[in-house]
Amino acid sequence: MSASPFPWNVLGLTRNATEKEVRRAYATKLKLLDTAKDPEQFQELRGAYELALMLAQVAEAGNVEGADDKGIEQDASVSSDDGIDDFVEHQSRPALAPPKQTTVPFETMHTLVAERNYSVGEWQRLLNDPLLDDPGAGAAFESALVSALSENELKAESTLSAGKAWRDLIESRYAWVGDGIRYPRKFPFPSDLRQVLVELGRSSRALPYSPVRETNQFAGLGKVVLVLLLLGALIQLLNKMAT
Amino acid sequence: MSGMPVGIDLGTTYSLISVFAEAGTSKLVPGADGTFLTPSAVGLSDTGSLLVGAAAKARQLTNPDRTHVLFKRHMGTGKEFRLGRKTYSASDLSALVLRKLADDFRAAYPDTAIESLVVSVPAYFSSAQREATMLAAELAGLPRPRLVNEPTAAALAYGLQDREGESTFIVLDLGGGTFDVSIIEMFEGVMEVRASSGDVVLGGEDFTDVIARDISEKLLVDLDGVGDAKRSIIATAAEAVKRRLSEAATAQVTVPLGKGKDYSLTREAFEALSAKLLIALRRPIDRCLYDAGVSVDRIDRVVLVGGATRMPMIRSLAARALRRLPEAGLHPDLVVAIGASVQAALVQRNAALSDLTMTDVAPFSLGINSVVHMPSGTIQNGFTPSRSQRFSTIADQQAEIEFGVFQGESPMAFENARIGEGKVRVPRAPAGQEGIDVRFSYDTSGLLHVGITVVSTGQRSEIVIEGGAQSLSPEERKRRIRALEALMVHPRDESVNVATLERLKGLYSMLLGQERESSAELIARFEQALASQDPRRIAQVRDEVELAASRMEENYVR
Repeated sequence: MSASPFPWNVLGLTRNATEKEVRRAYATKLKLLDTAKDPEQFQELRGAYELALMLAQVAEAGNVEGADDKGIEQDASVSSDDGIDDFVEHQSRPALAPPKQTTVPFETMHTLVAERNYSVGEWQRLLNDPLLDDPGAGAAFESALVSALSENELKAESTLSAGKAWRDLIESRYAWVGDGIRYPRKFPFPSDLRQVLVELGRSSRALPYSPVRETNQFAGLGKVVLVLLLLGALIQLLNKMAT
Repeated sequence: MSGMPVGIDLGTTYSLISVFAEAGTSKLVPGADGTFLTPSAVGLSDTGSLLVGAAAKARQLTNPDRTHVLFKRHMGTGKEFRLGRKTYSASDLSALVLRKLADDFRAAYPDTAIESLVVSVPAYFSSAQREATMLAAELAGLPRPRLVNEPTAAALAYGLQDREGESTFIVLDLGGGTFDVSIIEMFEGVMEVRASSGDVVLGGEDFTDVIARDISEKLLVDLDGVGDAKRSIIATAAEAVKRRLSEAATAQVTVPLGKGKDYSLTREAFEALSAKLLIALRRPIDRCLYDAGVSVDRIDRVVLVGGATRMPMIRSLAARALRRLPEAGLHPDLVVAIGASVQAALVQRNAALSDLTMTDVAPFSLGINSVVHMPSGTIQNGFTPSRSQRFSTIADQQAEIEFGVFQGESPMAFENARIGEGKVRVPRAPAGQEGIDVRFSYDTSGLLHVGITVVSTGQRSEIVIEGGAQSLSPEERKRRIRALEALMVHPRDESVNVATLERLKGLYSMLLGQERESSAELIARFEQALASQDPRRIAQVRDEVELAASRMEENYVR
């Protein structure tokens, strides 16, 4: 067993271990470990598990065309060489089933954008459309909305003719401004949309989508900084005394 | 004296305490009034002593200016709450609630110590809020607790029922003040939180507020202009309407303003009023699915936690968004407390749970920038509790590397919240030849540790990023514990009577006409019993008037 390479060696498995075997091996090893006391060993085990699990899933998806998981259907047809990267991409961005018959809210959205109608009431009704609650339809709608706003509106002018209330509503639903990690990952094509929304929010000195959370997070920050500064000075002093 | 694992759900509206009993199961501990739910409320009685729990909550209606609720929303902030001549922080008020729960524990399990204590917090609580929660436990004279994320606790309670099972489930926890979503994978006795997200300012109380605003609009009352007393009458009516709408399609109340004004609301209208809240509820669900990287079809179970998930609009939203009917096998109000004591037993490495382990995620993305404020890559949230990143010197003969630690979701470090900073000395060398490894790790309570290793010398140092609460000196802390101990809190047994009396007075203020007279009769009867000072008679009359009060409360909303 020790002959097998990483990640399987950490789990005590051979190269062709199945998903179930990987999970079982991980579970057994994890129970022998005090994760709080030994974070480094846990990290190694965790890393090995994640990789081995992914490789097992890719192998299984390759064996059975369109295996039980609809979410990774597309990957099954990808040749195994470049399949891993694609798979990782889909892991972080789950492909969902295509939207059902949900064209109505899409049409409404396109009309509103075309007419530059940013009435909060209408958009509230639109965003609460039960048809958009299905994850597939919801994700498709979000993309369509980003495209529509970027293409139709922003191409003509460099700003949206929307008010802050509309911007806050959109932000409370999608957090395009507040969540700078997932937004660029979901919508990698360049667009001014995010910047425009930042400015729409700023124009009336608004806080992002959840003002109270912001206060909570920042509260006491001054004190923390002060304490850390003092701590830093102390460490420096101790260092000087040591040398 | 033997020790027991104890779990506490310190909620926005209600708090509970549970123990992990020897039989290998969790048991909730009742209060002096026999119920499990202790309202998270602190108030001042007419005699100047402090009331905690049901007695305080009942007085909210009649004495809103001398009662505090929902203080969990201000944990970790500098907000001060005034009661009489003293002011309290959110941690102080929480400490009083915790102390009441600990008293209940001591009454139920005399001669038993708390061996390991776990307190639950929203998954999205920041370090400052977590620290404030830990401080509350210490101020209450309890051992320093470990914290567990509320949805994780809920999952533990569900997981305990089905240890051998293999499933992926999503927990939607809509409490009084917070909304948490977690995706948990369970296999071979391992429970892993794959992703967590949430909103710390969205909860059941916001839905009550929506109704209260509608009542004041329809009845032409200026909610911000009226006094505390009228506002709490409206809030009480709104709460009753909200509860009723979870069971019926329409609700009607007579709000005791002037000669009484009728108000009615349908389920559909309530949903329309809540449009903004419903829109905001969907964001954490989307995000959690995205972060966990699981397709919605891989989710086997949808678990609803928190009293506010009783609202039909929440249940149907969950069903549509997750393509699955939610289950509610365990009581949504009790499940977090049950899970917290399971976690306490896990911390203690209890033999009854040797086949179960649990790992949790880092709830925030973290990043650091180096001396010239160059934005560096952020460390994404994910489920490895510890990640490291290397930084090199950028100038020849540089002797120190200074850095800031940021928390947030923007790829540019400076757009996020700066939560700490540090400085390390490195040997002088040409640029780029020296460097430090910075490792972030969350401890089991979700507090952030930053470990720094100088690459060439292997010299290590560590900073713990703490909230404002931690900056108390040991003396200050001791002083506050003593100050809180010295407060005169209403005796436990008498509190039950105060709660009943205040409940009746509250009813009196909510009712009109004939019904108001009936409630006045109940008050007179109970006061007579109290005057007799005969504990048996008091208890008997108390049960009778409580029953009558429940009936009147039920009839209040039609």
